[in-house]
Amino acid sequence: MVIIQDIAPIILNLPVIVTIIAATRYIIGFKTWRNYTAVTLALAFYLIYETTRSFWVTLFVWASFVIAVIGGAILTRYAIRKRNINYYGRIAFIYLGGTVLLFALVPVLSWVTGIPLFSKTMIMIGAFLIGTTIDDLATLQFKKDSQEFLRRIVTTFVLGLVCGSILVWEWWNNVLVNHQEILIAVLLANILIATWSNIRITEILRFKSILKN
Amino acid sequence: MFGLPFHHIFDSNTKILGLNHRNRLIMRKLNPRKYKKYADDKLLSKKLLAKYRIKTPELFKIIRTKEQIEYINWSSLPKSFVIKPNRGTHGAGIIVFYGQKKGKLEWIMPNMESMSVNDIKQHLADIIDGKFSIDGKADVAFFEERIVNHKTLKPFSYRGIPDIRVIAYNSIPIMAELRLPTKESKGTANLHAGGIGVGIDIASGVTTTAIHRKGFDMIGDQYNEIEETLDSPKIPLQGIKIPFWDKILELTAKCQQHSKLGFLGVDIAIDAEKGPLILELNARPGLAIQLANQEGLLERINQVRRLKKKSVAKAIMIAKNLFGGEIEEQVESITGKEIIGLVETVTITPVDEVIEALAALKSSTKRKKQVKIPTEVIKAKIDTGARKSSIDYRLAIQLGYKELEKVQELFDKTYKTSAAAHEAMEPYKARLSEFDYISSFIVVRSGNGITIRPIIRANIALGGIKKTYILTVSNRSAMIYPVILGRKDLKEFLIDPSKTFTMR
Repeated sequence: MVIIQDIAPIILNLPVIVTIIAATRYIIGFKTWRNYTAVTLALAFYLIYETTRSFWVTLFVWASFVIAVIGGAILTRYAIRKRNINYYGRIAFIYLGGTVLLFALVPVLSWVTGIPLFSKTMIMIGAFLIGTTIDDLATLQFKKDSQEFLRRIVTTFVLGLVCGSILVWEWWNNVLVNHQEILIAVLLANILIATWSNIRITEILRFKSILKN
Repeated sequence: MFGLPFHHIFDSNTKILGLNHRNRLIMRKLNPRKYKKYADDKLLSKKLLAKYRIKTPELFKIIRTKEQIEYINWSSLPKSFVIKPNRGTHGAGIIVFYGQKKGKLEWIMPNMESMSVNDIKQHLADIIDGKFSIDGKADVAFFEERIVNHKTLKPFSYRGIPDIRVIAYNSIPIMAELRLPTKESKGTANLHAGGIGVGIDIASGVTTTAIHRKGFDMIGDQYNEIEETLDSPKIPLQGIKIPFWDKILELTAKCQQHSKLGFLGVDIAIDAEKGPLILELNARPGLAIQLANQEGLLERINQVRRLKKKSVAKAIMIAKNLFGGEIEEQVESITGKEIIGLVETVTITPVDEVIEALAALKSSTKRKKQVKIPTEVIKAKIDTGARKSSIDYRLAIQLGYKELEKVQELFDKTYKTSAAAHEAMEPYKARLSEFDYISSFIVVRSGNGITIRPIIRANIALGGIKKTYILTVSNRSAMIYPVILGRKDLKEFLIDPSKTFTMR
């Protein structure tokens, strides 16, 4: 039976994570590909950390899984691009490619880290969660041009890491659990972000030439 | 911070329209959901516009289900056509076919690759599955006529159809952009894919600044300013006069009024035969148009925000008055060249050698100093079809070029062949040492026939530029203008064929 020791911090951190994702989009100007993907990656990070209890090992394993999934999805899409395959069939193939690469990576990571990853349920659930983001990856590839795809992937990766780091930050979790009124501040932040109409920071840089003129 | 003074950063909120402001304060208020469907659904847009007799490309076929794909009569399709997803966005899923391979059921795309029936069937199936639709839901595909490129814009387009995006707010066209296909964009006018965006002056319909996407940047699509097309031949992008410009503005205002979308992007293509056709309506127009125009949308929106709804004609007049009229200064500052029209008033004075010769004719030193410099202010034709500039011999003599009287017989004589003219020119060339300011003779073939012309130099002031021109002297008595300025002497100028007498 899988037991997650600290359910409360996970639940309490969810609104914090999503507020950070929203702020990154509306104030800074970096977009992820849906909240679900970044939140899922963050949860996967947390689950892997629960087993390894080392930030750097977690980062290594987590990043490897994410890169495997992204790499597998891109390679599979490239391999089947000229085939006459239905749209949902393509997504299924991309799932297959990403999952195979993810699975193939597990023994390699076990050897490198010295942790028998297959027997660690939490890590496997983390890998599974990362695998579920293939669907978003696949549709992102079809809907956006390659540059926008790359931007969203990078942003999602970085935000997933940032939010995952928050989830495993013990000091912060203690504060949040013992001072749940912090969520009022989160609520206020959400109101501010929700009503934010000012120009995004990336847009200031993008339109610099007009402002200079 | 960000390489900008602080006040510029604060200015950004009043000048530049950002995504937050567009989505929250403009689109939510002005583009209600019940009217957004007219933009999101291309077939519904066509139906709406047809009701008001606004022309769109002709619709051939609609494919709503995968079963219908099997019943397409491929032999009956025209050689060129376009396939579009009904609810696609950013041009995704649109394929233009330019022609058909001989004897085969294969159609050729702008990148010269071809698609077979099976490939097209697959693409149609993908569209129906919702691969390109704005909300990922199942969609409808349709076949449409392919627009034939208008001759004015064709040289600037790489194998595709350029389009014009005009943004309208409160019924008033506020900003416009020409989007040109390139090799990089594979013949699509998509800026994200590598197409070129060129700002358009609202008043005159003349292009201004051109932009093209830089390499990858994490911030978002960044653009370089460019001056010429990217594919050969390289042609300057500033100063293109968009045909049917007033009609385009009129169509934009009408589209907004009929769609009831308060903030709208209208995409228009110009067909060689049919003129401007509405390609699609866009309820979420992108913001890179600001970079192409080097102006903020928000500043313009604020100028027209409180105006009451106007008639189409009034709306266009307001747009032209508020947002246009500075194109010439912008183009001049960009290119360093003055803009002139087809006919200009010029001031001609003789060169120093002529003045000295005139002075020599005066008997006393005192009188020599009092020689009045002959000056003529006349209308000159700006003739880019002519290589060299030319002056009528009578005018030249009036200006003091008395030596021309010694060769006056040349101005009434034409020759049947160049060889004959060259032979006849030899004695004149042999006499060059007799002349002070006739520098040479030349054989010229023109509308008047083959003639021998003396070459002189004269000072001509046109606009702010005064310089010495090399002119051939001929008999221009049958012509309207005694002076023409040819290409060789017009390098400092840009010619606007719609204008005359821009220089006073």
